[in-house]
Amino acid sequence: MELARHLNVNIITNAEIKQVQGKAGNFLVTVVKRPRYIDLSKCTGCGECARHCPTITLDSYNQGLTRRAAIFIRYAQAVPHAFMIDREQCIGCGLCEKVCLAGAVNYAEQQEEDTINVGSIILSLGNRVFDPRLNFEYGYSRYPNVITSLEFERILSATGPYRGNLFRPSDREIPQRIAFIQCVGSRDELHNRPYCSSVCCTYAIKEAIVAKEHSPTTLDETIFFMDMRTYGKDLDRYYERAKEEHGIRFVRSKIYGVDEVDGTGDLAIKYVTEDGAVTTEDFNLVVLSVGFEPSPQVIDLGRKLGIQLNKYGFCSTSPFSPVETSKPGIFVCGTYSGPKDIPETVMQASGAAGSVSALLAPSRKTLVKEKVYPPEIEVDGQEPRIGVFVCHCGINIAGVVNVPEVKEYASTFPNVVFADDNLFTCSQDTQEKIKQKIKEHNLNRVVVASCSPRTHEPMFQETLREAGLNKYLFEMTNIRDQCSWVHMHEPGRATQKAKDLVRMAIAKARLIEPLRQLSLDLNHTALVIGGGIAGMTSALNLAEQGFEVHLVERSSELGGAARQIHYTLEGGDVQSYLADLIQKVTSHPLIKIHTNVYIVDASGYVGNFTTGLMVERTKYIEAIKHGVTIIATGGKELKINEYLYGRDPRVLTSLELENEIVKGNPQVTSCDNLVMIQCVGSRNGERPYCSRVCCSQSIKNALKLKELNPKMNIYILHRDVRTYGLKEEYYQQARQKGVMFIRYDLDNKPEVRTVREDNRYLLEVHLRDPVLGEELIIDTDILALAVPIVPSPEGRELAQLYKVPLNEDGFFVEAHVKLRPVDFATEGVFMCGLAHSPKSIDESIAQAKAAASRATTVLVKDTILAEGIVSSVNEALCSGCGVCEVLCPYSAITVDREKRVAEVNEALCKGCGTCAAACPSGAVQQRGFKQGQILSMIAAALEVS
Amino acid sequence: MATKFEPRILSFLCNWCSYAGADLAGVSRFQYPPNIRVIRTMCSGRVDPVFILGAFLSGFDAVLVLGCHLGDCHYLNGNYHAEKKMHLTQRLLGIAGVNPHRLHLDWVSAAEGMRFAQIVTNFTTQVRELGPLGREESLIQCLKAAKAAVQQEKVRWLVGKELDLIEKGNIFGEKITPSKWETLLNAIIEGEYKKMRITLQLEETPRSVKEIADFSKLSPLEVSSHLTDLEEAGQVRLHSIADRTPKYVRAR
Repeated sequence: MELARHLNVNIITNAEIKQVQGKAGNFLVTVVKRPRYIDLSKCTGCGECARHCPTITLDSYNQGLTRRAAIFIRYAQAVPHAFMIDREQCIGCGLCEKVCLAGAVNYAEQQEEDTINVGSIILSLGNRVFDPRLNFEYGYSRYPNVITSLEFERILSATGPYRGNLFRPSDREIPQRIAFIQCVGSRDELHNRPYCSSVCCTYAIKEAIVAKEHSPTTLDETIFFMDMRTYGKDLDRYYERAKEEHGIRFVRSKIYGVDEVDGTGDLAIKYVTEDGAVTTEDFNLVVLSVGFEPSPQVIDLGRKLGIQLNKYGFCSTSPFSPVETSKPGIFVCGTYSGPKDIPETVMQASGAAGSVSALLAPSRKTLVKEKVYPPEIEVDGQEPRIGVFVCHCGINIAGVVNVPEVKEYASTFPNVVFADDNLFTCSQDTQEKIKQKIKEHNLNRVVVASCSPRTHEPMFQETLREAGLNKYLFEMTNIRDQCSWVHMHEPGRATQKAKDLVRMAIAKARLIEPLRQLSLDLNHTALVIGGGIAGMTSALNLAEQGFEVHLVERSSELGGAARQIHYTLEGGDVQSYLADLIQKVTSHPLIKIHTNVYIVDASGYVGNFTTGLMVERTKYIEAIKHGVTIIATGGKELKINEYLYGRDPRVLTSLELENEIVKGNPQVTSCDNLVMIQCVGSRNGERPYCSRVCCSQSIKNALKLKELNPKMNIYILHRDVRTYGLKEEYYQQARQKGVMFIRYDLDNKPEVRTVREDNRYLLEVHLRDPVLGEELIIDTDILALAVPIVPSPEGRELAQLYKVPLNEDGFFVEAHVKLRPVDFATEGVFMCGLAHSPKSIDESIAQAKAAASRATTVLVKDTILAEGIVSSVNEALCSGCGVCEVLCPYSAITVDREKRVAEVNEALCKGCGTCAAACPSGAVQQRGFKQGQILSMIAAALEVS
Repeated sequence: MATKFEPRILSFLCNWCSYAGADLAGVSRFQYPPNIRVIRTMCSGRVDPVFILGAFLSGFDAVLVLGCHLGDCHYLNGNYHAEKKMHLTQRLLGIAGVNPHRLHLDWVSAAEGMRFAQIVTNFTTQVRELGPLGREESLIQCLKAAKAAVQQEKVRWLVGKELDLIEKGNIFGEKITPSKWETLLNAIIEGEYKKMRITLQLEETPRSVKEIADFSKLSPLEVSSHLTDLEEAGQVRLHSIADRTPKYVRAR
């Protein structure tokens, strides 16, 4: 919605790219627009056409579980919110044109070609899901109760085929036993999909939990899996809760096949568990957790663009440039470059935008459209002169509600000087009419009774602005979605309700006031805290965009945790990348580096922060003024005193092992036996999170060692191997090269002992092999421990200084896990890197660019325009009690301890009104929703019975 | 034949979830009874208990407040505050002799058009069974007292501080247990409510303790003890002593 309304975003739907010419900074893109047969500027999305359309087809949005007309809108929230004709299904009967009162149907529309000149291209082409018919043994499409996870998602949805009821397809019975089969079309060599799809473990758990919520009876759910890969931030906790709280059963197994139990619609799953036992179990419904794959269309487009694709058709990227394709000027984000979850996708999307901003920085603001409005008419002190516009919405409202009667009724109220009814109040000609009536009758308040303010208020407010009225002198009431459409069989009472709603709106309109949106100056400098890869990448991106950056590092040199990493799993040379990055950062004229520096105080808000720096905790050096703050304080390996670490020199951490390999220490590289233990100090009661990178880190070391010494026996003792996404390939390689993977449970951890034999002490690892069911003793030369990543301790101080939250593990908490993964709820403060959660270098880089890109949305502004609907404090009434200060989720209210009054920072206030609802003294008011305004509506609601 | 009672219900919907859910009910044409009148707020956290009592005083039979599901609030945690405030209001309604089920709080997401229609339908049926709220003077007095009680600074202060005191701890760093809090808050709102009942009766006419007790269905001892507080706070004063009986009136 926000995107659709954005003046500088042009959305072209129902189109494809024919060709791309040119190079970075100057591309010519030829777009083929297929006909929609509907005029977007006229369609109101009312749906009358679809109700009349005689042609019915399967609805792909509901995964074919429901049907739709040939004239359709994909789903209720689709943008643009307009119908289109599915030419393959349409029989051309002409009925839709007849019933469309808006005159939006145009059968003569033709395919068009358009050439667009752009500086850069971002590919967010996405994936489709694997077609499980290829896995014949699972019975998909043969048995109606074997469904995909996407189909199950639709079944669980309120807008799905069973309206959110948990039914199974064959007979609409409520299933009592549901099975999920993981890795369908993932980790599957046979079907050339050896990669892991990254998201299926988590989504299966989510669906299982949601299904429980939807089920009226007890529901048994089983997830059949190979490795549980809940590696994302906080997701291991989710997995534990699924087991403990929700009683979901997890079975580590391989599936032999699924067969229907005759005549019941039930399904028998035959599977083999780790210990080799073969079992058959019956279920009422089987959900296949299908994986990602690039569709032939997106592979085709990739080829057309000449970018490098990997062997599966995903766009290739390097570990140090995760959002860049092989072709300069063309960037990539989301699952097109490999399977990933929503947070990762959103980070990459912002990261790609950041890269584009840097590339096109010289031409910034050259093509931006800005609208010019006439000066605002002064209405202060004037008697309200209200204009009321009541909408027919074709027959959508007028078919139930007596619209002329409502209009007449509205005109009887004091202060209403004009009332009108319109066929479509949202149409372009009615907008002109509204402007004209504002002028003609000197209207200073406008009421529209039509559809939802959520979709249409901004448009009418725009009309008011064009007519010179403050946009807050507008009130809207919903007599369609919340009246005519939901009381279709009671026209009399619906008309009465519409009148009441209009009367309430008029009552409020009398009391509404013009609101000003505070315009604040802002500082265009950024402060980046932390000089690791994440912090440096953010700083460099911002500097390349032309912003001044202060980069603050507590230690004496840049580089952070990456200083201890030499190469990536994919083989990238970290040290030379790091040296290059440090060189770029230190030589950039816009970056000022402060090393050996502590942050000791911070004040201010978005656009106007002040942060104090100190050297060695004693000497205050300077106070930096900055507009945004990026926190990239990183994390590190936690050295855990377990398994003789620190007592026996043969016991190392993973990073220490890497260092010994690089140094070529023969005790390591030439040894006979080497054991690695995963999850040491992670995924336990004390640290119930997964450190995400350790499985890859160990496999990386194992592959390197095998390369140097193929005869070495390497054992990796793990709980689940979490080589998600394309990293799975390296797990397969390691197995092929003879690295032995042995699983252990948390309640059956390996034990390490030193045993004296002759003149030396043997290092023995004891554990129980779940496959053989036997105790194993491995006599090892070297033991490497995969220890957890913990956040850097300075995070705790910064959390207090900038008033931003930390989670239980000490990592920073984002404003929204999926939608705002690098923002804090406090505006103008962002995060990236290990300070957010454990992650790999490519993920840190993408997130760092994302943080820079999000910071740019603030820094590019000339001034900050605050919300109009904000809270304000009447100082005469305020007692300075501070209730509002505590309640405000955005830290927008502070109590001035000397004056003993609360002060609202309009730049930070988001206008929820929670403070106003709680103020003990009535001093806090929410503009636009003042106490008196709402009370007037309550009083007006029942004036006439 | 008597016409069926049609309850009048006021509903507060938050802009981001429940209002959108109501819109979706419309788009999906899920029918529900036309008894509700909707006021849109940005957040359910904006719904002031004063609005609820004001609605009952204006003649509504019931109030329905719908917000985003817990955890989904557009403003992070406004719906948690709404939950606290609505619970308080329900307790107060009970004290004032109004069935607390006349106020219903629930959660509806933007995708739950069906759920919205069902909640409205069920609630309308439920209120229809409860019957009209009634307009007797004694009830109006009770509601006025309840409304005045939720406007009291100390009540609002406590409600505003609730999550803080229970979850983060008070100024001494001690956390108050939810059950202890419940008892504490109940005692305070009941006390405030009773004081308001007394004050409202003394608005025009001076009355004796016995008269007040008769009107407000409180024991004379209780009235007497509240009068002490009210006198102390300067809200009530001794008006006259007739025979051996003192009469009190609202202090201006």
